[in-house]
Amino acid sequence: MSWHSVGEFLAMGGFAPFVWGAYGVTFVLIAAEVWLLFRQSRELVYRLWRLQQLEIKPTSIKPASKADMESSA
Amino acid sequence: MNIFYYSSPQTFYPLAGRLAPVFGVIAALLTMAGLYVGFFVAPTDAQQGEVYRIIFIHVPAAVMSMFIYLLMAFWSAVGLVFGTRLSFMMAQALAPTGALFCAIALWSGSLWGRPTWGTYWVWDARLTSQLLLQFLYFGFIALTHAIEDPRRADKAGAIIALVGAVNVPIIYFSVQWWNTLHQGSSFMASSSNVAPAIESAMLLMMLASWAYAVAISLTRVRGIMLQRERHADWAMARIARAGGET
Repeated sequence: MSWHSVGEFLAMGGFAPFVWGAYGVTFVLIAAEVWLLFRQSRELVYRLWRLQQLEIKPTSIKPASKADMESSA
Repeated sequence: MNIFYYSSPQTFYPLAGRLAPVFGVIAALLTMAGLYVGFFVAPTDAQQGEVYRIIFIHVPAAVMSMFIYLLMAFWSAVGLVFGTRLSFMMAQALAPTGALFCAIALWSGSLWGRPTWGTYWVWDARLTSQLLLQFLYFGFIALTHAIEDPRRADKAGAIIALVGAVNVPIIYFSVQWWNTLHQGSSFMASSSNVAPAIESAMLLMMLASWAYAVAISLTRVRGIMLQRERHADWAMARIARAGGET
């Protein structure tokens, strides 16, 4: 191991802005992609479900119970 | 088992849903192992000092950005030849992650270039062709999103993916074909004198990036499948069930 202290590790031999700049932005970009993907997936399912509710023939819709309303909110 | 069994969205959708978390966990474990070896086992570089540790994200990101583009071209070709819808969906699910890796490669390379070359950017063959790859990704994503008719969007995207694939060997061989500031590959050379720990860390990070790309693109392709196939019976059932849970 090349480090003798936490400070030395963080200093990266004087290259801290470059090393941590590269790793930091990479981490942020990856975290953003994962977060956006999950949010988009959730929103997509909800949007498609709403669309499906609208497209179902009115005769086939059974009246929503109170529990349905609450669980869909 | 019929290998074409999973080539339909109906059967692939649940499979992708089961596989994605597995690959996500593998990616996380490999990343932790790779970072540990990269920061705590790999020795300091005699010439560059600690800044060389950028290599553990730079090289895997650059390799993945090229590999994913070739995969997109492959799926596009399969889609054009066999008319398989799922192939185009795979190409489109891969694109944002490829673009992300490309951006990471450019960014980390720039921050590595400053202390070692004295410049963040130089218009040499390697850097310029990698930047072109970034624009090809953006072009592919923009085009497939801009065209409303999915079949036309698929074809247009496939053409960009296939034409742009010519750029990948140019990136890869640029350091041999031209006199570039960017160094050649340190690892493919037979006289490689790179420390084993550095090679191990790079390999671990490479596999982590690959597992990450698999997890993310499988998750993304599920969304694309559900949206495209929303009038198919299997998708309607899925949507109804998922909607009931929201």
